[in-house]
Amino acid sequence: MKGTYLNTEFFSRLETLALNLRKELAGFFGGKHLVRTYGQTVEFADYREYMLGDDIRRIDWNLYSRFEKHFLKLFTDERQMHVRIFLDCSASMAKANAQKGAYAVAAAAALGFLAVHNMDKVSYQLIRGSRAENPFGTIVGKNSFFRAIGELENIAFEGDSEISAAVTGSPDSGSNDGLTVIISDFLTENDWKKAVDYLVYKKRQVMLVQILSPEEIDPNYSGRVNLIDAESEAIEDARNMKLRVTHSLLAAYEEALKDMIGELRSFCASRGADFVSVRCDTPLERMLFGELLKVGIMA
Amino acid sequence: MMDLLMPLGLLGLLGIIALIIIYILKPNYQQKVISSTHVWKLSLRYRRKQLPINRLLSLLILLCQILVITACAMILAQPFIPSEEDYVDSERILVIDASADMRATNDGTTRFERAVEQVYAYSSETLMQQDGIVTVILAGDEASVLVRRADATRRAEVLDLIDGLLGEDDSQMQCTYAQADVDGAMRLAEEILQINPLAQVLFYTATSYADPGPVTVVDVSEEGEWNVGIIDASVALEENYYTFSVDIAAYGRSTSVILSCEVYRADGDPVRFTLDTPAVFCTDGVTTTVEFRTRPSSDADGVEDGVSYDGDVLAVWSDVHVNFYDRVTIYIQSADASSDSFSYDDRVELYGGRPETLNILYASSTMTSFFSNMLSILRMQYSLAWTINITEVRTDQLGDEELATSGYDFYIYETTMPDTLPTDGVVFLVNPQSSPSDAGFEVDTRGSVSAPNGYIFSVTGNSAHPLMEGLSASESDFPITAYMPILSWDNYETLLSVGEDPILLVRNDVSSKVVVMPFSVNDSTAAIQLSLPTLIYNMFNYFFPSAVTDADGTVASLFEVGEEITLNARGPALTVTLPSGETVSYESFPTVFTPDTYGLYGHSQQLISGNLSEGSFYVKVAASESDLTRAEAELPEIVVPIVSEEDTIQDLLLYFAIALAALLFLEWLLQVKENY
Repeated sequence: MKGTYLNTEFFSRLETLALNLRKELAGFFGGKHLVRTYGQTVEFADYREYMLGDDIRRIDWNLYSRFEKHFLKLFTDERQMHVRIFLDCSASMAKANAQKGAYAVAAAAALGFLAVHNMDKVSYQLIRGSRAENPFGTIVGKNSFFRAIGELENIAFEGDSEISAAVTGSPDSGSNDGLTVIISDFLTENDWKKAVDYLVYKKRQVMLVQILSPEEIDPNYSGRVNLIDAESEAIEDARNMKLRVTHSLLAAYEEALKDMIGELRSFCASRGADFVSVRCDTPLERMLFGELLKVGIMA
Repeated sequence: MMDLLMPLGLLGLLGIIALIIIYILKPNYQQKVISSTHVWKLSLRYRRKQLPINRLLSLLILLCQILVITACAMILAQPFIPSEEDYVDSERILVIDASADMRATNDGTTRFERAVEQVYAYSSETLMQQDGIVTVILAGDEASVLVRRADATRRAEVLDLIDGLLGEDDSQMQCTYAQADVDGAMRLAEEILQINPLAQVLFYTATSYADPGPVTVVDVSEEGEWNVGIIDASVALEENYYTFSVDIAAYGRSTSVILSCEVYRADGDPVRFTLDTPAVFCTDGVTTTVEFRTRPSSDADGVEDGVSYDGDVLAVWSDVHVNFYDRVTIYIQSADASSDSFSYDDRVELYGGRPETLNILYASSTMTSFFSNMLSILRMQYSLAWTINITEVRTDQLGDEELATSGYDFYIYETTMPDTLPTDGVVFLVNPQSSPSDAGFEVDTRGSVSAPNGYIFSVTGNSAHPLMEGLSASESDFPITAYMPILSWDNYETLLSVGEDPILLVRNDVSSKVVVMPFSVNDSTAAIQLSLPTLIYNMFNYFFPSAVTDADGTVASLFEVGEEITLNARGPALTVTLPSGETVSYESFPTVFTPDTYGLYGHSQQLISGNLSEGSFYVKVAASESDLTRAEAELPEIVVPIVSEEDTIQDLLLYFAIALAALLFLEWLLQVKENY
């Protein structure tokens, strides 16, 4: 599969953006993200009284002259985060609409670029079945990133996916060290909520990106239809459905989809996670500069 | 029973088979690959619960589609129901001309007989056919249907009816003496044509038509028919001499004729005298005028042997003076004594030579010249209608003699009133100073009421009454300066009044005919501005109408068969004696009498005085009927509905088209229902 979004012009536009991650995260030394812990930067943060064992070089002698007490001058700390992007690589992401898969890859690439551009680490976890593959390892720096992206564009969307199993079973899910993004259409009976709960438990900042094709939002077929699930293996598969699509059924579909997205949104809100649902025919820039800015993950 | 114009159209029903095959072959479900059926499965919970009837929708749609195909096939097959109308071309409408000229005889057979015989034969032949239908219309003075759409089952009855037209003899022959109502006959034929436009119309007549239109004219005239007849006759009174003028004509041949005029004198020698003309040559189709003049031939130049020629007019002179005559009979006959084909116009009679006497009494104490002059003028004006005798009486010179209250037809009492009103005539009371005991009104004896000097009273009233014809009920026509107040006037109708006081009253019932004018002609200028003369003329016309007048109201004594005659009566009833001797009485007037046969008619009426008033008038056949060679430009237009093939059937296409539209709509509705 060849992406149509990833080009130099696209990435150059992303250079003006950065991921806005929570300050509670611990992260690693050497990044650019301000955290609540005190560190060795030059940016003043606070004072506290000297305690035995503190480095006497950090005593503020000016204050001592005024209060005849020893105070230490504290500075902010900046950390490096590890952004983990779980990408649903099941057939549902591309078999029915190739643009949907390309859009998902582009979204993953854009988020990854924002990470490496801000000196964070990135890893792509491709969800295939109940497993999450990490073919590119931890990516640090743009050179590594672009190499990985070159390969990411060629991944195949096939089979099914179990988001919860893949996320919870991932050996590199991380803990309190950054953002985890799950990119999927979430049109699955699999309990994705477990994955969110697990990541929250692991103190990860979580964001769910739902990508839907226009046909999924507004089906344009009617009458007697044999709906073949893209992840089904045979025509007799239980996931396939025979339906007479009527106006009332379309209305019911619209209502069901709306409720499903609403449930995603409310669950994420209840867990402190961010949620974005986009159509794959929406320009990617609008998703990045619009939807992601709106939820606050982008700054 | 429904039938099909194009049964092959039913092949369209094969579409049902095609539809079923399509249903069988049609893939029930189109394959559609989607990302996930997860939302669809969720949506099933949201779908409204379907009614059980919805499961029948598919079946109903199939049923509708089958019916649509059936309707289309039926439309292609052009279904129809054979019309109940008998659109058969073997129907005949036979119209017989029963006008007077159809009585023309040749070789002992009249035209009418020939027409009837031909109609009889043709009807017999037509009704021999299984689907033959015959209608027979008689175009007499009023068109009538003798037989209406009779078929073969009524053949004997129809033939009897047609045969009955001839009767036992000429008197029973149902041929009129009037003009035929051809237009009415054609309208009756038209009614039949509306039922069956294919019917053929045949008109049996001797009149030729240049453009008979859709009617087939069957000529029943024969070679050799000819006629000389009296077309018209009239009387003129000039310088107290009567002139009897006669228009004669010959048709079918030019011939010489002799006219005889028998005058039955009523004065002097009551015996008739006869005036004969020399042979008068009549050119075929040209009307010639002959006059019989009852004045000395010495009064004119160029009279030789009692005959003179004034242009084309031949005048025969008689030295016998005629003051009055009972009747004048005029005959015409061929100079060679041969008989023509039509004898009904060979004689006319003229009446009216002795006007009825009308006695008028004018009694007054003042004797105004107005009434004297007015009555004299009336006598001259109505000299042809009435012989008016006027008696004038000065009431102040009567002495012991009583004022006459009987023996007159018209009483005019001015100022001085009789004790009782006459009961045998019309009474006109002018400026009454007292009230006759049986007058029915009461005059205020205290004296007249006068308008202020130089003023006239304001007058109102009823100008719609016949007495007020040509007059307005206002002071402009009746300027009055003084009048006698009348206190009560039961049974009188007020025509004019000043305020509440009547100034002109009329009473017209069987026993009493009274007009009361309670003002003097000296107290009004109505007499000199013609209002009063007009009122008296109106009184004459109202109370003394001529018994017989033509449609224009002119007194006449010679009419044509079928002409409208207005009858009036001075009494409660008038009796007309027909030429057959039968009598017909009339009690409401004016009434219109239309004679249906030629000959002498008498009329009589009982007057209010108890006297019997009698008179006569003659009715001749219409002048146009004398023309045996009559040719008309065209028959009255007869509308024949245009018959197309579709008119012979009741087309069901419309109904099937409506059903098709309804089914398509239903099918669409079901589809919408199913897809919702």
